[in-house]
Amino acid sequence: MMEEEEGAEEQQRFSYRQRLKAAVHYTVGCLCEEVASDKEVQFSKQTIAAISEVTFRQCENFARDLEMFARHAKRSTINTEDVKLLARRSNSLLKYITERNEDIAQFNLERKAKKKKKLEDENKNSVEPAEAGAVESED
Amino acid sequence: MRGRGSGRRAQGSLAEGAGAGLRKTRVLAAVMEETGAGFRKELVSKLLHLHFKEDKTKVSGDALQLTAELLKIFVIAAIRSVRQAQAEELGCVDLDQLEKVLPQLLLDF
Repeated sequence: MMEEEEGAEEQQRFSYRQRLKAAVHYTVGCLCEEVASDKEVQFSKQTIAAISEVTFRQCENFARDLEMFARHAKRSTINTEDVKLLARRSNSLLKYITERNEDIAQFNLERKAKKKKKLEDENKNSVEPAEAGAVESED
Repeated sequence: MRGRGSGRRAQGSLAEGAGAGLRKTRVLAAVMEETGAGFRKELVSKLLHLHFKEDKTKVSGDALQLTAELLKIFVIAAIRSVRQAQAEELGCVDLDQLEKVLPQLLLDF
């Protein structure tokens, strides 16, 4: 009975892994298509599958490294500094990732400011009609 | 699109980069131009959590976005180097080309 349950759990974990692999495979396929479209090169199914497999395994390295980096900094949350450390092996890659990080931070900052402004505007709008209503009722 | 400018800037520095092989430089430079498709944040999050040793480990939103970017560059670098290797030596299966470029790719990431 116990063995059966364990087997079922194992099976579930395996199928979850396969589903994630399939998602990676799909994304790799999309990227392949995009890269191939401007030069009219076709990649074989095996090559796409192989790149997907390598990417999936590489994720394991990334995850382990990121976890270790965060723990080394005595954090339990991984932040962008940890991701930048992942790109330390190639100068140009590190430079690009650092710039991308700044872009993302800037973008999120702007989005937050916009959201805040929108929220404030909404508050103003919702307050004003109420006041108008109050004035009307006084009449 | 956002980030296209920074891609160009990175390319400039790549041309100056000493030490790096010419082919590698070309591939990475081409990779850093913006493309549409990419890894979704949810997928990256699940992939990372699958391999974490401790359950309490969390990932910030910005870090997820940046990791997605890194993964995309990894995949595109793989694709472009296979294509480059193919262009230099015709009449070969692309799986063989992948085997040839894989060591350099894994040393870069």
